[in-house]
Amino acid sequence: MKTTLEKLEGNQIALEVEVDEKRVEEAIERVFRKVAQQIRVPGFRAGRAPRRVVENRVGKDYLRWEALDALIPEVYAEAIRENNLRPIDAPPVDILENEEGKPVRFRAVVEVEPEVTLGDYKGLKATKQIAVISNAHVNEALENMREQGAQLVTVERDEVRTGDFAVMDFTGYVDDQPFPGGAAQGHTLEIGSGQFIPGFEEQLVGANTGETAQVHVTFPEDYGAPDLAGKEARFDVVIHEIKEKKLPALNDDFAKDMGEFETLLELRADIRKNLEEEVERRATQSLEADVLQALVDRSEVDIPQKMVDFQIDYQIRQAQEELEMRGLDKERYLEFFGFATEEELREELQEDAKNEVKTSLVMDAFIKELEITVSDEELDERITEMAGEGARADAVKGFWETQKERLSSILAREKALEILVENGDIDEIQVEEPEETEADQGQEDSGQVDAD
Amino acid sequence: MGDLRSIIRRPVVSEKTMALMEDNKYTFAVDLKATKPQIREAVEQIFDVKVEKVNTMRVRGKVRRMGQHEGRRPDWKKAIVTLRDGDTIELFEGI
Repeated sequence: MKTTLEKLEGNQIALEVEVDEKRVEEAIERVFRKVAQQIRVPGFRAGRAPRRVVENRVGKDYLRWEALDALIPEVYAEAIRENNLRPIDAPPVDILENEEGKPVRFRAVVEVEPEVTLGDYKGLKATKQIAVISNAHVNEALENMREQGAQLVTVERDEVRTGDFAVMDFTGYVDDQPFPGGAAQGHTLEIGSGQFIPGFEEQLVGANTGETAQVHVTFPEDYGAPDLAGKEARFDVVIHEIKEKKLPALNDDFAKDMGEFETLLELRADIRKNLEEEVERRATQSLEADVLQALVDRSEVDIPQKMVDFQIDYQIRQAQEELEMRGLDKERYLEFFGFATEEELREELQEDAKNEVKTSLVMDAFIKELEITVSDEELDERITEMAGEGARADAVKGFWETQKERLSSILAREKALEILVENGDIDEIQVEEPEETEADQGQEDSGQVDAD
Repeated sequence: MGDLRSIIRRPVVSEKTMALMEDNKYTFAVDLKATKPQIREAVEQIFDVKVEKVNTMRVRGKVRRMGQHEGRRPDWKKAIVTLRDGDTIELFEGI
């Protein structure tokens, strides 16, 4: 194989490859053997027909083209590897010469990843925001745990109040006719939870057990079942029982139920520790993202539109897969994003995608510049760590053994981020109140961990 | 049957005849009534080679059935022609 490279403008490289006839012949021979196995020639057992006979049957050109079909991508990949090119996409291939007994020559114009002009990676400015965990946060987490441990207890009371759980039978009528799905027996409904159509739960407040209460409601216009939407309905409701939610008492016994704790104090300390770890993890993550972004901003790359388009394609595909996984129609991804046409959506994703592409190019360039490498020991160590001790340890291990290349690039990225942070100009500030959503998230997490 | 080309019907191509070609023996289906001298003459003229030896045999047609109807494929004559050393026949152009 002989390769000549010619640099064209705009990150394009013209690649001319010559494959000697011996290699072409070998490829044809391979195809011939395969074809010979598949076709039946009268007078010959499968696979025994000589080359000339098979050629006459399927056509000489057929064998040759089949052979080139397999050979060219193989040779192309070799040429790419030997010349250390990083193509963006598989280019069209022009066959320049293809004659029997002569070398095959082809040409491909490859668009490669652009050069990155790395900015100085030292002294990148960023702020690490560490949320202070207050007693209030711990209390909130404890309350969540109590909610999860709550039990419904029947109360000796006849009148329904908001917040009660009513056990009831109901039958719904539209135009005095019962309708499908409009009736249930022994249904438990939390009054005030908003699970039923608006107005339903409110009208039950003050109803008495054992009596039939009538509820008049109008189905909302956007109701799930179209034949009911906007209709007026009457429900006959019989309440059998009223229950209240009873939270477990907050004491040492509660702590014991929650795991390996002797006292409530120990439980509180553990919750605090979990929350703090979570906060630290988030802070680091967001700091790393900020530092990387700062490096990206300092660097210059001529971002190829093609890579941006691929990134957008990828994002859309991800969204489609997510929709499919939730059992929804994946063709409705535009709705999912909230756009009318694909063009609009692509336009909107443009900037983010550009930054994404640039970030990834800068990251690769940085890893190369600093010669960050990942050793086999490091890989093995991480695989063992991820596999853990559980029953599926071997499966996990086996999976990552096949994904070493990917894992290696993940580890290289981690190292790169650490270096950026170490060399960065980082301010650490303490934030009193973590953002609402973050706090909720953290508590849910720790709550679940403890409940296990 | 005066025409030489109506004596030689077609080459017989199979694993076995391909193997025989290694020994310079070429196999043809020929007219049932063709004689060895006629076959020798025809092969020499058509392919411009020297024939050493001709062996012939009658191949009995196979019995084939279509439901209740019994039929039989026609008999034919097979000729294995040995050429002089060095002579060859290119007979695969139009198979």
